[in-house]
Parts: sequence; structure tokens; C-alpha cells
Amino acid sequence: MKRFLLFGVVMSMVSALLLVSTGCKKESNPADSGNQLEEVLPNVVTLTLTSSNPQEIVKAIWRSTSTAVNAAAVVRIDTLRLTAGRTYTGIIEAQNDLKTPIIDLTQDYKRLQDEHQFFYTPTVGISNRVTFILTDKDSKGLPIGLNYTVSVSAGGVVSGNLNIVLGHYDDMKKDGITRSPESDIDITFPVAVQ
Amino acid sequence: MNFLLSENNCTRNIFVTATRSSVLSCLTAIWFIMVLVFGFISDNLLAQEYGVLSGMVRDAANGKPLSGAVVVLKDSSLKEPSKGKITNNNGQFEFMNLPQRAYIIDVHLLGYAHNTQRLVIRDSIVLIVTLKQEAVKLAGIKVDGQRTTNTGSATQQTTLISAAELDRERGQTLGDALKTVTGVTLLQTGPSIAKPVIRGLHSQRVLVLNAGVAQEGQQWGAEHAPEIDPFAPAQIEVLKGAAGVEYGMGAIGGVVRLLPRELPATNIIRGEVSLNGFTNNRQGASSAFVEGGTPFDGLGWRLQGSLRQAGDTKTAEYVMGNTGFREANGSLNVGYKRRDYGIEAYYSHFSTELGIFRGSHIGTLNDLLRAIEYGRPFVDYTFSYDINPPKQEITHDLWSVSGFYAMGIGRLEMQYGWQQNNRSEYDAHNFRVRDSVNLLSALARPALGLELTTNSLDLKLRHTPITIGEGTLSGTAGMSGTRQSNARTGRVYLIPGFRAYSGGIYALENYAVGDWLFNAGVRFDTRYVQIYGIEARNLPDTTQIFSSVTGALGVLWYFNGNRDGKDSASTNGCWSLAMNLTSAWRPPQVNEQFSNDVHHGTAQFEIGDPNLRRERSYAADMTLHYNEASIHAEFSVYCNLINDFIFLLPDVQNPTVTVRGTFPTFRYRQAKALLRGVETQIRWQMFDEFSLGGNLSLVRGDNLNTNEPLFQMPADRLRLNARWDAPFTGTLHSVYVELISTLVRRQDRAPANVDYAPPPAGYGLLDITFGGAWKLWEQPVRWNISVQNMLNNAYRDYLSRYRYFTDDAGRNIVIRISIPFGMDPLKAESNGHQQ
Repeated sequence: MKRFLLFGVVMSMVSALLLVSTGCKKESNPADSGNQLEEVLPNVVTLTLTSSNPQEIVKAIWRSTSTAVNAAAVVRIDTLRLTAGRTYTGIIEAQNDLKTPIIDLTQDYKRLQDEHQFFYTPTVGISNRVTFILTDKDSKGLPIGLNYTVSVSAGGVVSGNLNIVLGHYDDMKKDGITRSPESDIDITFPVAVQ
Repeated sequence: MNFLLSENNCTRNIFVTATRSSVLSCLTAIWFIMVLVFGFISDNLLAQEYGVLSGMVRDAANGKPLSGAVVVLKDSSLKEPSKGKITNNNGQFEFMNLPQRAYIIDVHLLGYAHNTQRLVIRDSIVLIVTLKQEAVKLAGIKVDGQRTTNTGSATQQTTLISAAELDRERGQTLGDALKTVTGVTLLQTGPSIAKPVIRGLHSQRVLVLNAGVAQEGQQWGAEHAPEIDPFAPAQIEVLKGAAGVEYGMGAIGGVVRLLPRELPATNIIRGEVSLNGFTNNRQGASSAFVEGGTPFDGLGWRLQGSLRQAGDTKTAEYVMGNTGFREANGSLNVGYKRRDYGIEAYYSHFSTELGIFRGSHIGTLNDLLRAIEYGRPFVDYTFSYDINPPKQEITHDLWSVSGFYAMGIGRLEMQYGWQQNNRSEYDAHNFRVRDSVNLLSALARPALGLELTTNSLDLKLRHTPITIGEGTLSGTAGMSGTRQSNARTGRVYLIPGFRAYSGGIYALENYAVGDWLFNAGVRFDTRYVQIYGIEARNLPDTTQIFSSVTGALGVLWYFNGNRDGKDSASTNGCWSLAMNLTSAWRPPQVNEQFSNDVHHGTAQFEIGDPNLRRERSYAADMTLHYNEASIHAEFSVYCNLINDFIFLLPDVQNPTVTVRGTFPTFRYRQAKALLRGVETQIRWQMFDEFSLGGNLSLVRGDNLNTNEPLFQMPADRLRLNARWDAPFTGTLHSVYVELISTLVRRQDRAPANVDYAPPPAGYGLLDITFGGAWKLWEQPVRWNISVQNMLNNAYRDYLSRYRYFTDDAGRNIVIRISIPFGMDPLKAESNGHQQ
């Protein structure tokens, strides 16, 4: 019995020692989520197309009510309305308008132009009528795609889709043609040619 | 010892400040020098031709000598006939004039598990063998695979090659050794992350016990492997099927027990250095331990450490970029043990930094589909040791103190454990940070940071066996409690912060009578969880309580055998049949309830359900065992009906539309699931030197609500091996060649609309191993060379999480050397007891 008591005493002493020693080791408070390094993603992508002759400005907005991926988000997608036989000068802008102040990510793409490229792909139905040409160049002379021209050939009323992908180049070297394995933006606008 | 301690600290520092391979090799050299020094000290030239083996058999629970136990000594090369002895009233036995060579010693007694060990007889050996009552055996079906150790109790005796079987299979991860067990497959994320899948279940449904403490990391993640140093365990035990009565709620799939070496009890000093090399990823790994006793009988210590550095893995055709990893681990163990009481303290530190295959880091669902269509990585990577983001950094620290005290009513055992798991997952880039200095510091912060701290306390009483009628009743009663807290940082919302408390109480009894053994156990557990809400995900603070009961019934019957111990050396076969019925449960985990984000690499948006109910499993299994001198065979069938089985179901109606494209939405749902399967294994010692073996495992899993197969069930697997043991004795001994063929069928039972790519084709792999032991400074230096995927096949396993992006690893040549050193271990008293 004496030994049993001794055993109990030793066990509790060692446990206490352990508790003290581990107590020194930091245990974070789960209630405090710590610093949140939010990667800001765009929730709005705007296409602005200008035709000089005749004067016309076409805008199409893609907007989600959530910056992060969120199944409950409400998405607004405009139809891009183009006129047959015209040529437009276009720009693309990406923003996060859920933050105050609004964050303009277009600047970031411009700053990191050597690692980014926009790809504009008109789908079947309009692919033979609508042509995109990237007009801006990065530091290595490869296209970026923040500025482009759109030519719509003459013809009847057609409709289709325009897929816009922003490729992010990390391991793969940007060559101006090949899409990167990783994409930062991948959205689709309906297109109507009148 | 001081020297070693500082070295160990040093290894950790190096690790933190990015390990350099030159430092690694420097440390390895230091270990080498230690080997030489200790090797010469130990030089013992007293070789004799015959040896004596004497010893004692004791009850593992109360240390009492066991009379009437059968001790069978088999020449492992089968040159000599087997010899048998029965222990006397004091539990003692003795074998005289034994030719010096390797033997297999098997000790058994009715109502106790067999204890089989490999043993090299040199001059004189005193052995203390402890037998464990069959209690544990019935909690699940114990598997020993192709191993010679049939560990009811994992005795760590002072034999020279006792850990040889594990040595032979030891690989880059803990999983490599586990996958040789029938019915165990691996859920793999590249070469550095492997999780055991037991009978189709994994993650939270499989419990990993490290030195007696349930390992608590972030088990829910398919790409979160158990944080265990592959060098640390001396033996591994796999329990298949629900083993909830002894181990608590959750473990409805099975238990993997990692058993450390037993501490020396007498005043000796010895150790071992192990070196492994892998050609495929140009990996070097080294491990060493030193252990000793003290002038105080029963006071022993051990210090262990390991280092590992690997570069990119190659498939048959290309390099998998950024799949390197490095590890630095160490453990310290001190204990004092007498016959009736003992106390032991254990500390272990695990740290790893591992790269995530660059080609699996994708931004959108279309990226994933393009990668699958392309069929191989878009980029041709060149080999490198560099680890760049995306990557994981994980540390795991474990402190435990355990003690036992034997008294009149039984043996009281206590274990307290404290562990902290720190997981940081880094993303490849974060372009919002404008200047390069801030960008570096931003990238140095994990996208997902989790810190999980667990305190656990276990208390049990193994009561003294009681004679009732013709039989004996033995058993255990116990209680356990844990307190857990999880803190998160970063922008990925896979699990919230939480605090959880759980408690359990149980009793397990065995009744052994004649050729029969009956077992029954019952357990009650409760778990309280406090979830801390996340504003960004509209998750409020929540508390939940789950409670339920676990029960188990089992029976074991020996028939047509010689279990009465009167004809010990007989070669008659022995049959046994075991049957178990269990009902276990598992509370839903926080990721299943509160997950709300995209899982990188799988491009699926996972949404938890806070209202999930607990999972309840009803399992039945049956195992037929046949054992004789040259044939060992086992056949098992099982079925596991799980009510409210929690799984991810695609929500096809509500895809998640984002600026990054449209992601399929997956929701955690519950359904009635049925898993069943067949496992069989056979080993035939055809001639003295030649044996053939095979094992087959088939698993079928179905969702009974939809009558569809379950996702990610292991494919049918057959493993065949042929082994030749050379009859060499002398300086070069225990030489063998083993040819292993693994055949995996295509998984043709996969649910529709869940996966992006169909299950990959079946495949076959051929491995060859050539190994042995070489007597150097009177110490058997064990070595082997193994060629894995000899034919350099390109293949993808269905359970590989990289199968959308890349093939699995190509040919790999592994070289393993283990050099024991120190005072002749055989002279020391061995103690087979294991906690």
C-alpha cells in the first residue's frame, strides 16, 4: 500500500512537471483566428469596347456578390452586344468592389505583366465573325491582353459565347501563345452580334 | 549522451534554417564514427559453437510466472528438427547444446496470444518472454502479414534481428511498411504523403497509436499523412475492423499501433545506426539510436534521431516537379521499471517540409480538365532538391508519461499525453502584395495554418484472472479523457477553430475455457465541441454534444490442434476460427460540418453540414486460421454496415460560379453504406530454403440509398512473393532473395458523376530484394538492396490523389543498412513485456 501511495505521488509529480513544461509551450486560443492574410480576388470584370466610326461604347459586366468562392453568391453576367462590320478598341478591368475602398486588380496584372496573359476565345457560332487581337506588350515583347481590338465581320445576326481566361505563368515560361496550366480568371460572356 | 543531445538540437535548428545536404552528410559521418567507436568497444571474440537458451515465461498483465507454457524452438533454416519444452512450476525453461544460428521461438499457452520471435543463439541467452492474454486479439483480427512475429504482445527482446522484418520494408514514409499487410492500401498524395486505408476506410476512421497515445494531427485531410518518423517504431501492429472498445470512438476502420523498443533494464549501452538510400528521388535517410541501462536496475534510457532529405520523384517518363521533402525527427525515452511498478516518460519531435507537386496546383476546373486531357505535366521539370511553394510544413511534438502498478486486484496503468500538431500550408503566390520585400514576408505566411493541441489521460485496471468453473475470466476496465483545441490562421476555410472535450469509460472481459475463448466489451463515450465562428463565412459560434455506446462480442475456437501443450514439437496443423460482432460509432468531424472552401488540387468546393448525425457501424467478421510447420494460411470475410455514413456528394444543380470559373459543389451528406470484403493470405515453406506466399484483398463498398458504389474504394489487389533463403552461416548469414509481384485490377466500381476522370487502368509491379546480414565486429550488420518497380512501368493508382496530373513513381533502387553497436545485447536480460 505504501508503494502504491509512492507510485501515486511519483505519477502526479511527473504529470505536474509535464503540465508545467508543456504549459510553457504556447497553445493558441482557438477563438482568435489570428491574422488573416486575405488574397484579394476580383469579383467584377468589365469589358469596355469603343468604336470610333461611328462613335459607340459597349460595356459588359461580369459580377459576383462574393469575392471568395461561395455557392450562395449571386452572379450578374451581361451580354456583350456587338455590331456587325465594326472594329472596336477594347480594355478589360478587374476589380474587387466589395472592399472599401474598391481595389483595382488591373494594376496588379499590369505590374506583373510578365507572368500574366489574357486569352479571348469566341466560341462556335461567332468564332468566324469575331476576332480579338492583343495590342499591348510586356517587357519581353509578348502580349498581355489588357488592351485589344475586336473586329466583327459583316453578316447576319449570330450569337455565341466569349471565354476569357487570365493565365498565370509560374513554372511554365510565357510564350505569348500557350495557355498556362494555372488560371486566375475563367469567365464566359454571352455575345450577340447584330 | 550530452554530445548526442546537442547534436539532436542541432538537427532541429538546421531543419528550421533550411537543411543543407552537406550538413546532413556531416551528421551522418558523426554517426558513423560513433558506430566505429562503439563497435570496437564491443568487440567480443568469445565465439562458441554451441549455445544455451534459458528463460522464463510470464503473464504480461501481472508478471506472474506461467507454468505449462509451450516453448517451441524452430531452426529458421529448417536444418534442425524443432525442439519443444514446457515451462516448470516456476515458469522456467532451458535448452542446452543449441547449434549457433538463427531460430524462431514460439511460446504459447491456452488463453494467451502466441509470442513468436526470431532469435540468434550465440553462447548463452537468458530470455524473459511475456504472454498477453487473448483480450486484444478479439477486439479485432490481428494481422501479421508475412512477418515472423505474430505479436499478441509486441515483445522487444534482446534478439539481434528482431526488427528485421520492418527493416526490410522500411521506406520513405510510414505507409511503405504498412502496405505489405493484406487489406491495407495507401491513399497517396505523391511520394511524401501516404495514409493507410484499412478495409476501405481511412483518415478519421483509422486510429494511429504512437507509443500508446492516439496520434492527433489533422487526420481529416486526405493529403495529411500521420506525422510519424518511419524509423521510430520497432514494430507495427495493424488491427483491422472496428476496435472501439479499447481505443474509443472513431476508430471504426481499424487501428495502427506503433510500438517502440522496450527500454533496457540492466546496465548496458548499445544502439544502432541505419542508413537508407533511394535512387529515384536521390534520397538519403539516416537514423540512429543509443540506449542503455544504469547501475540502478530497471532504470533505462534511449535517445533516437533521424534525418531525411529527398529531391523530386521521377515517374517512368518524367520528373514530378517540387515533390522533394526533408525531415528531422528525434525522441527521448527514460523509464524505471521493476516487476510490480514502473514509470516511463517519452518525448518525440517530428518535423517535415514537403513540396506539393507543382503540376497539381491549378486555378480553375478547366485547368484540371485540361491537365487530365493532356495526360502528363505541362512543364518538363528537371530534378532538384528545392522545395518551393506550394508546400506543407508540419511539426508534431508528443510528451507522454506512463506508469503501471501491480497489486492484488490487478495491474493499474496510467498514461498522460500532451501533443501539439502545427500544420502550415503555403500557396504558390499572392500577387496582391506590391513590393518584393512584403511579398516574401506574405508568402512566408501560410494560406492555411492549423495548430492542434491535445491532452489525453488514460487510466485502466487489468484485473487479476478469476477462475470460474473450468475457465478463467480476465479483463480490463478503464476510462479516458481528452481536451483538444484547434486554432487556425490564414485565408482558407476548411475548418474553424474549436475546443473539444471527450470522455469515455469501458470494460472488456475474456473468458477462456477449453478450446474456446469468449470476449465481450462495452464502452460509453461523450464528446463536447465548442466551435468558434468565422465572420467571413457567416458561421456563428456553435456548441455540440455527441454521446453513444460501443459494444463488441467475440469468440475464438481452436480445433483439430494441439493446444493442450502435451505434444509441443508436433508438426500437426492447428486450426482456429475467430468471429467478431461489433457496433462502433464516430461523431462527425468539424471539417465535415463546417468546411466552406475550395480544396486545392481537387478543384471542388466543399460545404459542410452542421446538422450531421453520428456515424454508426455494425460490423461482423470471421477469420479462419491454419498453422503448421510449413503452411500458414488465413482467410477472412467481413461486412460493415454503416448508418449515416458521411461522404461528399456532388450538388450538380448548384455549381459554384466564380471569377475563377465554375466549380462543382460538393456537400457532406449521409447515407447507409455497406462495406464488405475478403482477405486471404497463404505462406508455404516449400523446401528448406524456398517459400512462396500470396495475399489477396477485395473490398466492395456501396451507398445503399442510391445503389451506387462508394467513391475511392481500393481496387482489387493481389501480392505474390517467392523467397529463397541461402543456407549460409558464418560471417555472411541470413542471406535471402525475394521476388514480389503486385497486381492491381482497375477499379470498375466507381460512382457516376463524382469523378473528373475514369479510374485508371490496372497495373502490375515487380520488386526484387536481396539482403542479408554480415558479421562485423561481432555484430550482425543487416543490409538489403531492393529494386522497386523493376520494369519501370508507368502507372496510376486509383487511390493516388495525383492521378489526374501525373503517373506514379518509376523504378527505385533502395539500399538499407543497419549497424548495431555496443555491449553484446544477447548477454542482457531481455524483457518481452510491452505496454
